Amino acid sequence: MTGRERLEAASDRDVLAAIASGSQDALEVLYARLGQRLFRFLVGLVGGDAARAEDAMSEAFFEVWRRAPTFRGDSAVRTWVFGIARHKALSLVRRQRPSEPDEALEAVASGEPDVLSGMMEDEAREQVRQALDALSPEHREVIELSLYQNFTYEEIAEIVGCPVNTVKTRAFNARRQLKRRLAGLAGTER
Amino acid sequence: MTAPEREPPHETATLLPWYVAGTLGAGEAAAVEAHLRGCEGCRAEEAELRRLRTAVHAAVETRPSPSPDLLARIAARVEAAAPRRAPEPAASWWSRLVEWAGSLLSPRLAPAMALGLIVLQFGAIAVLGARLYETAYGPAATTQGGPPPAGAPVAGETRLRVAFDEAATARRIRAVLQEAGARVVDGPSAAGFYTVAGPAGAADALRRHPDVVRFVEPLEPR
Repeated sequence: MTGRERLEAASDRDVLAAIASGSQDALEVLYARLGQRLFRFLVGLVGGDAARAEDAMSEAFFEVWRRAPTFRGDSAVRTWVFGIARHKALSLVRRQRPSEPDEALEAVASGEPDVLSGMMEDEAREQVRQALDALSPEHREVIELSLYQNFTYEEIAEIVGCPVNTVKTRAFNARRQLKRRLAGLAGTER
Repeated sequence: MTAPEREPPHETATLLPWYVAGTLGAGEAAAVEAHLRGCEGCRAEEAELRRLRTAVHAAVETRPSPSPDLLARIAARVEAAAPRRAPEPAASWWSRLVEWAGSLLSPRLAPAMALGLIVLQFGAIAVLGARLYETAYGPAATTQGGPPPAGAPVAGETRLRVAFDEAATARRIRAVLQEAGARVVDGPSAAGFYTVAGPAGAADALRRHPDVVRFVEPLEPR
């Protein structure tokens, strides 16, 4: 087994420890493990701008490289990396564009309790994508981190830096808003 | 304007996203299941969340992937910032010893000196191993059916993942381990980590020597 193969078989913690020891191979292994999903999360955070998401990704992995020796093992490596990347993405957004208020919500009509069941698959995907994009960043990220990235609520609290109860309430309200938006979108098309 | 946050009707309703994602602990998942049996509203919510989850997966996966050269750009940036740390910390003190030995001799003799040091190192490991074994298990162990497997757990011991500082000498590492009452039972891993076993306070004792021990972390019991 080569050194690279051993790294690929190692736990996330061992890979991070190897990064802390200066292994660039280990950084590549971590990138291969987390890169795709992390990038999709960052694209959502920066409003769909892939170039800006790449900037955030680059900043994030450089920061992971720099701070790996300080990792204390209090959380999962994936949670730690997502937290760093989120911070980098939001810093870029704040630097490049002032935040915009979430105004579209006011115009959305409340509708049927189960709006997804009546949609075709492609239609549902596009409508959910639009509805997700229209959510506030705080609501969007908690929906994605729970339903797509499969983080626990404790991990999400750590990534976004807020209390666990806030995460739960935010997820509840995000669902309410998604439901309204999807009902509004479905109503517009019919 | 962003809509104000509303309080959910009850605790179980707030757990449903993690319930459908399968990321709740067993106790909470069981509590949610029990609640769902008696709450029609939450059952409908759960069904809708499952559909929403599928749709969110599909929607998020339509997002672009990073450019194929992004990793190379990150690597170049890291390379430009290097050398921050030398790789392979476990081998580093050894490399330094070989380098030092080489510096004492003419370039033509350096490889022979290095070879000699390798032989010496294997000898030292054998002697040290024998002593550690004797210390850990006592001479009686050899008369009771042979030694336990290398790194076999000893009751009451704690196991740690440890990285030694690249600049630490073998002598200092040995002294710090002895002071902590600890011993190396496995390693180095591909990442340069050792598994160290010792008494309950071993981690703190090792952390008192940051010049020698760069990283200490308790290992999960296997």
